[in-house]
Amino acid sequence: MIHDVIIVGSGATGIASALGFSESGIVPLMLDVGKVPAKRSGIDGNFYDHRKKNDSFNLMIGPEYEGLYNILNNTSLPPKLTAPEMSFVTEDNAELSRTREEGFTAMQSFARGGLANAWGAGLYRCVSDELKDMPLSVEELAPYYEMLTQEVGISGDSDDLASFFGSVDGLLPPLNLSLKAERLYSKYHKKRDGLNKNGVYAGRPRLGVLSRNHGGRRAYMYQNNDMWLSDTPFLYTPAMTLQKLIDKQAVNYESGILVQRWSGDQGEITVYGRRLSDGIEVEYKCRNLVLAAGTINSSKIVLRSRSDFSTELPLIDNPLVQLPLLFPSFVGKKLETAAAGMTNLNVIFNFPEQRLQGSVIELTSPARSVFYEMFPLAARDNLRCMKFLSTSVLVLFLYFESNRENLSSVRLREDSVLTLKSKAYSFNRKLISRAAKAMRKMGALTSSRIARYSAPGYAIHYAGTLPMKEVPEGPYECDKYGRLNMEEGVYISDGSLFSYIPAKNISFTLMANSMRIANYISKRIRRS
Amino acid sequence: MPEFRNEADKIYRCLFEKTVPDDVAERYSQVIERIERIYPDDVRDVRKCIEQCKDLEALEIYARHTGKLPLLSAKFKIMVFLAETLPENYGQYINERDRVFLAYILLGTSVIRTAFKFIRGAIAIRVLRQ
Ligand SMILES: Cc1cc2nc3c(=O)[nH]c(=O)nc-3n(C[C@H](O)[C@H](O)[C@H](O)COP(=O)(O)OP(=O)(O)OC[C@H]3O[C@@H](n4cnc5c(N)ncnc54)[C@H](O)[C@@H]3O)c2cc1C
Repeated sequence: MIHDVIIVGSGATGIASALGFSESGIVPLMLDVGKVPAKRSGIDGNFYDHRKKNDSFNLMIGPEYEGLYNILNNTSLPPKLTAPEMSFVTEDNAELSRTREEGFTAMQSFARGGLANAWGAGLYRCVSDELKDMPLSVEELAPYYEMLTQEVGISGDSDDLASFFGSVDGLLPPLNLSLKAERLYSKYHKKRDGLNKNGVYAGRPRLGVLSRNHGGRRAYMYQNNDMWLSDTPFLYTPAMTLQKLIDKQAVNYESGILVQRWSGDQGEITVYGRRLSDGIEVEYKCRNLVLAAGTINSSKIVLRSRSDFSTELPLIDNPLVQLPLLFPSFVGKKLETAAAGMTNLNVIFNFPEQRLQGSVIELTSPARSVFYEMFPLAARDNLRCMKFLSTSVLVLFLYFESNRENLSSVRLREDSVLTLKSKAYSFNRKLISRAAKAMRKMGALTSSRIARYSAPGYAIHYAGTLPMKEVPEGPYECDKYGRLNMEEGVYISDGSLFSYIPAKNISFTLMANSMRIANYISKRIRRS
Repeated sequence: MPEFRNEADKIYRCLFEKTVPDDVAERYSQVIERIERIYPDDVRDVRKCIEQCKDLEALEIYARHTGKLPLLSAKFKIMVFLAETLPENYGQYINERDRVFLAYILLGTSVIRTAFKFIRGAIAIRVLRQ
């Protein structure tokens, strides 16, 4: 059987692609490794109420000691990825994709729904000046942004950030602010003129978290359990759309398949993979192949198909700095157990040199133990700090745009190991100082001296390996519809296409672009 | 009786001034060899320190700040995570009432206490080496 379309991957971009095809009535075959959660804790209700009454070892640490992953492996994964119920997101990574990391830490996922199972769901549109160097305009993305806004259910507001975050059409009301975030936001409003003059703007985030019931899903109840559970209806994940598409028979989903390469002959593409249950090699035939396996894995499949073991493809990510924000009047206050433990506010630093995006994150979701090691005191004193000081801290995730100075690379070795190389990112420290100063004006105690500089790869916004160009050159560039140069019918549909990423969580734009490409392929199929 | 019960008890006492609960001792014993594999060079010294040192907390803060015995700090961290999951420790981790004044006093004394512990730790490590 020859399929019209095969999509590889069920992450945010693969699902957006399938959604795009479903608009045109085309039913693609989706090939995926597709790991699913093995266990569910079944807690329903507030994380803290649960903990007061129950031994939470299985929920917080897990029988395989997943909750201690960072200590046991000397790493610093985001806490959500170490929650036992989330372990399926990164399950078997080491076996399924062997990597050699030389300065670049790559996060991959072979889960049904991909990395987005663990995302913060900050879903932002790009504005015109953020798509620079790309043969793509905001106008072209607009209809897909709109459809996705409906599908996902995005909370947000029409505020000072609307000019940076694009149209507010279809947004649900914003979520409630935590007490500290409220304090910060009211200080911002008091000092707004001065801050705006310096290019600093604050407002509500665009989150794929429901502030109201939407599309048959329940609204967020401020229970701080989303970090620990893999099936929270209020926090959108692509796996939800996948299930809907499967139910409507708008996609044929086949999991347990690791795609390795393709070969093409006169418009007929053969996709080669391995069935993971028995290790048997399998083949599928199609006329259009859409690679949405995530930047790193799509690049691997392309290099492998070309048997190219020498080319180093460029790899970009957002350099990221974490700035703790202390609110002295909250020291010793009781922990706000019913706050939204996620991004509460965004701050845009529209500096003349470059624009930075800050996400102000409330820290009520993770285990308190995460904070224990952040203090420099003796063990029992650290426990006190953890208890009394962690209630007074927010953290600002400060994203920088990708730039040529901080270029990393990916290369496939003959033994199938991917080498990911990067030197330590260089940061413009003056900008961090200016951002810290602005945050002080908004009432937070902070300084660029306590900033934590994240290692390359930590932002988990990978892109740039197979860039989209108006006129693609060479074998590793794509045209403006994602078609890989020198190939008939092979399309790239994920972050690989973006040669630049603005200082912004980029996944929503990757999804909109993926739908746009699906729409283009659909039209071509119809024409032929 | 889990193999590492004594060790678990010493660390737990250091943190909470109480005997280690059975569940925590058991869980600690199950995971501790995994962390020892990461710092094989430290294993003997750290086991000896835990067994012999009278003020383990002092030793740990000194070791942490001087980059010595990372395994010891890792064992403390593991215990902090394991202990957090018990309802009986909820109040040790979660501040349930506004206690601003008390918090400032405690944090102030914590800094002084840490300095004192650091000096004790420096002495303790010398004694252990002899
Ligand atoms: C903790 C965390 C927080 C985040 N927060 C945000 C946020 O707030 N906002 C934001 O914009 N982004 C965020 N991200 C990033 C975001 O999750 C990713 O950018 C996005 O999910 C990437 O989607 P993708 O479809 O390109 O790839 P992935 O999510 O990596 O999906 C890849 C898919 O391809 C499949 N696959 C891979 N290789 C193969 C193969 N060889 N054969 C078959 N199938 C294969 C996998 O099974 C998977 O289904 C976050 C990520 C993490 C981990």
